[in-house]
Amino acid sequence: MINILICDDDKEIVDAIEIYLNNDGYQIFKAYDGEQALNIMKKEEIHLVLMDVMMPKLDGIRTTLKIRETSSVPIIMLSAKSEDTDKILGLNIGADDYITKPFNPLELVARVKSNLRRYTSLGSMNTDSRYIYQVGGLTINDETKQVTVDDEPVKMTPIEYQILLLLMKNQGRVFSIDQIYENIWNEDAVGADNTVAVHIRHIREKIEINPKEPKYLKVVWGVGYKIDKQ
Amino acid sequence: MKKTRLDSTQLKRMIFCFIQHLIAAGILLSVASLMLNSYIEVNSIEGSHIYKIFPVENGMEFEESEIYQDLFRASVSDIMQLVAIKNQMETEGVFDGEKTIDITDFARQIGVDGGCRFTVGYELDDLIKWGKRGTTYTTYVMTMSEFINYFGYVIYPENFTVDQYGQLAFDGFYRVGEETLNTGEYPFDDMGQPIESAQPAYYGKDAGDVSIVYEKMQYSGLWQNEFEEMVFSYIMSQGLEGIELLKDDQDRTSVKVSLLDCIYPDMDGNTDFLKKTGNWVDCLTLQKNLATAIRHFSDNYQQYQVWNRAYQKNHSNVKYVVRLQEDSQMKTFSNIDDITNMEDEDITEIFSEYRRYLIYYPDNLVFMGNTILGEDELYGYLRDYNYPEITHIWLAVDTNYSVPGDAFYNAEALFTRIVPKSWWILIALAVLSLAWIGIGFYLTVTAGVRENKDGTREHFLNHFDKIWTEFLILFSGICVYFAYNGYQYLVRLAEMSCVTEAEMNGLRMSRIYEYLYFIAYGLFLSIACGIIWYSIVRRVKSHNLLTDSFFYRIVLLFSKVFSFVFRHSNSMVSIMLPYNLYLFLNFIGLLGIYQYRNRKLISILILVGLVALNGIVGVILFKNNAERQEIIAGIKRIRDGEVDFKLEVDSLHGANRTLADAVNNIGEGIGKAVKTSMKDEQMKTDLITNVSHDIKTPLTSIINYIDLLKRLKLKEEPAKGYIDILDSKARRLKQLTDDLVEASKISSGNIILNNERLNLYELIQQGIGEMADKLEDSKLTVICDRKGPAAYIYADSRRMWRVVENLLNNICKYALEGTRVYIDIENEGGRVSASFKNISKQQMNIQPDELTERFIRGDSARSTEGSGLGLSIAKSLVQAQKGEFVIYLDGDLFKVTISFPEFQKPEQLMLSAGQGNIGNSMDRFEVTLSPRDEDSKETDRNEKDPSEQNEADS
Repeated sequence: MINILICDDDKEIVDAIEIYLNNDGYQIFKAYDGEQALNIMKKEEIHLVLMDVMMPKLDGIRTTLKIRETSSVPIIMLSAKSEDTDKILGLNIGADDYITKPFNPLELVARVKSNLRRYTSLGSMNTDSRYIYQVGGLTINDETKQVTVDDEPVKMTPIEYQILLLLMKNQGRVFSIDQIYENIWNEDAVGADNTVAVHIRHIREKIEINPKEPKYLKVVWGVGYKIDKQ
Repeated sequence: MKKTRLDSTQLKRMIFCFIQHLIAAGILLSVASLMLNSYIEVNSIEGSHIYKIFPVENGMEFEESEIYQDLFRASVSDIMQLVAIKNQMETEGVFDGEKTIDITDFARQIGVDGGCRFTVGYELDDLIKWGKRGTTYTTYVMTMSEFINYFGYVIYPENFTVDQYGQLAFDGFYRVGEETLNTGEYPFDDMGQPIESAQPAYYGKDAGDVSIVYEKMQYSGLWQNEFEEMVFSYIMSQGLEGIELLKDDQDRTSVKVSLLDCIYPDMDGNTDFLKKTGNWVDCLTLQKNLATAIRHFSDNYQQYQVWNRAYQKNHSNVKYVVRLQEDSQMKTFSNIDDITNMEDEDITEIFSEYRRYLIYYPDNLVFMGNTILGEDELYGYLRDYNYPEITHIWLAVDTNYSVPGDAFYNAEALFTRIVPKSWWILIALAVLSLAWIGIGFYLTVTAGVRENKDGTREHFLNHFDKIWTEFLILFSGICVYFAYNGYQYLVRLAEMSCVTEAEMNGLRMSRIYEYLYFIAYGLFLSIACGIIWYSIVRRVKSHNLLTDSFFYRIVLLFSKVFSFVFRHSNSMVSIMLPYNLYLFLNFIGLLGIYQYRNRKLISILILVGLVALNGIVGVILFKNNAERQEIIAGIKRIRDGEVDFKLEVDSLHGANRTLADAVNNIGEGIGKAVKTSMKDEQMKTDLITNVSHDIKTPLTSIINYIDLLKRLKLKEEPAKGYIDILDSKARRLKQLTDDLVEASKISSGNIILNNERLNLYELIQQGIGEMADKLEDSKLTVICDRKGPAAYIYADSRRMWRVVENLLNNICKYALEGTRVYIDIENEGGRVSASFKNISKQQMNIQPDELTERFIRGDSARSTEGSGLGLSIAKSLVQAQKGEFVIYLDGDLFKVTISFPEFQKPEQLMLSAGQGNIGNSMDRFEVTLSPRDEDSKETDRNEKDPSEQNEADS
């Protein structure tokens, strides 16, 4: 049984999340401010925390800091603050993910699952690394031509696979559309138009929880695409 | 303003103007017919004379007119003189040339005789002939002694007297002796004898007086020349004509005497008056009398000839009878037949039958008549012409004017011809003048006023009205000058017009030309009046009669100068006084050097002083100016945005220090204002952000519970539809809050740009790829084309993506389904531009500019999804990145063009970016205040301290 702590001063939100997560068979603990959350953390074994930022008594940031003093449990921040700085701040103080309000409940559930998988199966993947490329929960096995996200296999077309493989092999490097095209199709990129861009989007839809805020395959606007090292 | 807009009022005005000038010509035409006919030339005895008839004399009888009265008075004068001459020259009514004239007697009669003791008689013929030939004189020159003794020795006691002061004086030529035997000596020393012998006679003088004089002459010790001077001064004192004194080089006096050449001998055959008179005084007096008589008689003879003919029987309408008693003999002079022997009463009867007559008996004090001539006037003639006491005069004018050709006849004929006409001319003149004034009034009222199409009235000026008022006055002066000269010429022309074929300025003026001249004068007057008067009226109406004058400007200038000086009286004291003192000191110094140029030490000292003074002044001026420059530089820096800049006040002096303080204060003020304004903007953005946060939390619940509702899989159809509506509206609300925050941030300049080199074409390709599904859903085909080399720009890539995303979203929402979307990227002339073209789904009835305003959408019903901020955000972002954002609408064609400067030299920008980071990494993007801060814009917020960020957020 996996225990999830939901901490938000808005009761209705907590209840709604509870309904979604109950459906997927998680045990839910509810807290309506930071102190309650810390109390529950002390009493119960919690596997994942959903933490609102703005709360009475003890806000999400400080609560997170307190939790991090004793625990490395995955913490997903929930916040109405959608600024980049807010996200960066949240991630920097120890949160594992950041979801802005209003959120899509399905995305929330997906992220919860993703974080749980990584937390529970951390370090379990230890096969032949010559053909295996991994970034976070994304793994591509060139031997079996298999792509998994958080251990869930993903189906890909050959071109999508090749593009993803190219980017995974050269983590951190930015490939422009033309470069990708020339690498994959082995042709001059004249008149390549938006074929590559459409493929990239398709890949993202398959491997990302929220394709608009990609975690792995990132768009460098006006330059190209890349997959960052982690 | 131009001729094209000649409205009806102006046309009317022009026609009226024309009519007015025509009327003026008509007025002058009638004036001409009056003036040219109101002068009458009357040929009387004394030549022609021009008379003027005033229009006011109209309706008078001729006998009451001035001409008649003048003529009558002249006739009376003529006749009185004629009768006097006749009396002199005629015997029995006929000219008598052999009449003897006693010259001295005649001279005494007319009052020119100087007391001559001799006389001569001449025949009338000789005198008249002499007068015609002219009198000539012969000149003699002699010494004073010769002059005095010309007729013999005169220095005898009998000729002298003692005046009231006991002085000797010459008394007269009583005794004239032989030539003296021994000149130069007193004759009385040796020659007592002649005196003795002459004693009994004493030449009519008292013996006692003579002896007293003799005594005096004996003992007074006078020299002969002194006696001669006495004699000479006596002669000169007689006021004789023909003697002159001459002085030669040695100051010797000689006498010049002019003596009449006696052409005709007198009755006794004498031609030498010197012999006859025996002394200078009588000789010259007689000579003068004779000359007067000659002149008088020859003149009178001429008049006699003229007048006698003019007033002879049946030649004149003036009738006269004059009777006078001379030497107890009655003489009658008349131009009426058979009157000589009539009795006075009969003559009176005849004359009183004339309509105008005059009867005068001075001796009986009878004066009758109905003429303008008074008794005094008539008596004056009698006295002037030496009429005897008993004189009877009858005068009359034949008012039937039965004798043609004389002055009365001519004058009467002209008068009766002109006078009846003048009435009609006068009436015409009055009517025309009224018409002229009337039109003038209308034109005055309408001058300078124009009616616009909308019925309002406005004042306007033509080109002539815009020149200075002084020129108008000058022009008026010239016109007045010409008018005055023209008027004088006109009057002379009128006067000459009565003379047939008048000649003026060498031109023969016929009648037509005279009238034409009048008309031209009238036109000139009217046009000149029109130009000047209407210009004045227009100027007055437009209130620029005074303000448009040179004088006014001069006064204005002076008043400005004076008020400036008065306003800056402090400067006068602080600058002008020391300056003048400085000049004065220099002047004094130079003067001193000049004064002491001989004393070298002093002059050198003064020179040194002067140099020192000028040096100090120069240094002060230099310092002042340098400080001023410093302040100006400081002001420039503050103006350029460096509001924290402070001038060094301590190093400045006087006014510059005050100025610098003020500049510092102003800078501080600006700095505060800038900070306040930035703070305000920040607060506004914060407010919007906070509000949107507060909206987002309940929105989260709404979205979640809507989703939960959906999962319930409600069977009833309407409920399912309602949930879908709730779902879409909740999403839209989410979008709206996000866009609102972003828009407020951008518009307040509250965004941070992470500029980098990026390929616009690549970016758009990526964008199309991202949006491919949506575009497909809208059944749109995108045709992306690139011209020119790779299009690199320098911009914030994520912001640029937002721009492209918004534009593509817009296209998806509003482009007509099934159409093509054209995206062209060009790199030309240093600018990279991308244009998005699509066919609009709906008709667009708004201006391109309005589309980028916030919350404006092509469909005014706002039925589609979207916040209405998309284009506004895109435009603001493009502009924030130094780009241009242009919307173009043509029918259903919707085109957006964004353009940026091409990014060419990455090295340079890398360098400047580095500098920017060092300088002020937290500089916000300020559109209005510090556009120069663009270098420091691309700052990575990642580098910021998280704790600091935390504080800012809470």
